[in-house]
Amino acid sequence: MKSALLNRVAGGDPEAVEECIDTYGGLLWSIARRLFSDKAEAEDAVQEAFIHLWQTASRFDPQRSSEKTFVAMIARRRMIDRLRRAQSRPRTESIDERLVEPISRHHHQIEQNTEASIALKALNKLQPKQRKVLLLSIYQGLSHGEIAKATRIPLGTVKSYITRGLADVRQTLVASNAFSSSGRRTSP
Amino acid sequence: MRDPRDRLQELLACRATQELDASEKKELVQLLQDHPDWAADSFELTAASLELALNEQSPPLPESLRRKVAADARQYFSKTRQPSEPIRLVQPSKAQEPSGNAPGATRQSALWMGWLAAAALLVVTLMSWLPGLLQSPAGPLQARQELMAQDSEALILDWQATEDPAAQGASGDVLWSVQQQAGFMRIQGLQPNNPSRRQYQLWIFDRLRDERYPVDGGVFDIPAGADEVIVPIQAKLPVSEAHLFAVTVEQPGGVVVSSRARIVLLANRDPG
Repeated sequence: MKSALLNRVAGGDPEAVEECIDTYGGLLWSIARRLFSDKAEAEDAVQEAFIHLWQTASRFDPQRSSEKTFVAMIARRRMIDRLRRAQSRPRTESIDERLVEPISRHHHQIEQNTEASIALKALNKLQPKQRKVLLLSIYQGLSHGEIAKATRIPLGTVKSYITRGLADVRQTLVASNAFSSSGRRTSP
Repeated sequence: MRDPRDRLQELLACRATQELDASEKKELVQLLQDHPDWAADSFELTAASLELALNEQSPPLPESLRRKVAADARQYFSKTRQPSEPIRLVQPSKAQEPSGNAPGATRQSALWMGWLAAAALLVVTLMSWLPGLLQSPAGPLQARQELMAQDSEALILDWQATEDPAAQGASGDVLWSVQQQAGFMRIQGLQPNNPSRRQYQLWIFDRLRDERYPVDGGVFDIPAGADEVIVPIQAKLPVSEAHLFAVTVEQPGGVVVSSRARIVLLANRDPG
């Protein structure tokens, strides 16, 4: 059963570990390739993120998020940490004005009524500047200072956009019963 | 007066998108204690949801990388099945907290050339592994002896103190088992640290890896009042042929690339 995969991983089940690598390897590789310009560093980041996933698998709670969201969170946490400490440069070639446009994704790319699809709808409701700043942060992995420099928006405003943007998206997730107001998921 | 919940959200958003510094982490911990209705990772989960929404169709993991990840997993789970040991103090002493900047030069500083160019390493925080260790029933001394008994070929090297003020009079040894991918540091006389200001970090140089990319052996503390500590080594990548161990003083949580400003202990398999 898919939702039990991380629980099996936490128990050291070798088959579950292999299944986990096959299920989420592409996702982690995709995030790493976007955040790290150097391929070797991206590979190291994926190895490191998986080790962190093995360490934290037992903390996965299906009442709080989907397994995929949990894995993405763990990977992002470790990769952002690495990015900042290594002073690496994220890939920035795709920073352009398209970031202010609403994101359209084909239905087959995102399962409907998941946290991701709800979050995307909420993202598209943000003001263009706020959406752009949030995308530069989440998708491009830029630090707040880098965003301020790239967009010529004051640092305090950048921080405010990111905080309010995440709060708004989270509120939509709460309203959709994907998360509860305390950050706890109310529906499986 | 500003609503502390606004500040809490700001810190949670910062944590979800970039690293917090030590004072921000401390502030966040306090705010979360004051507002227990907020989950610490609620904004991180939100950011992860956005990540999934924005992520293009994922390419498959390259086969060579997949093999490395699988090999790391085998190493990791074989290690976690070994008995883990808590950090335990043996005898109290009156050492001082390390302070000030140390002279940059050390006897073996040449071995660290190229470190600044190192692109990356594992980021290890004590919090990621300490809880598990603290739950372990056995003592570190016993575990160290068991490891020595299990692996007669385990490497034992004496620490050499550098000229750093925190290292004066420090001694001890490092035990490393390639077979078990486990080991322990035994340290006497190293100055206690204030974890909110500085922490010690172990680096393991592996002959089969690029010298610029030593393996992070974990961040650890020397508590006040101890004159000997035994610290389990937590190498986050497999180590094939360790030949040099080094302990540095770093910022809380450790670093990926050391500035080499403060090297306190060295254990060299090939001295001279």
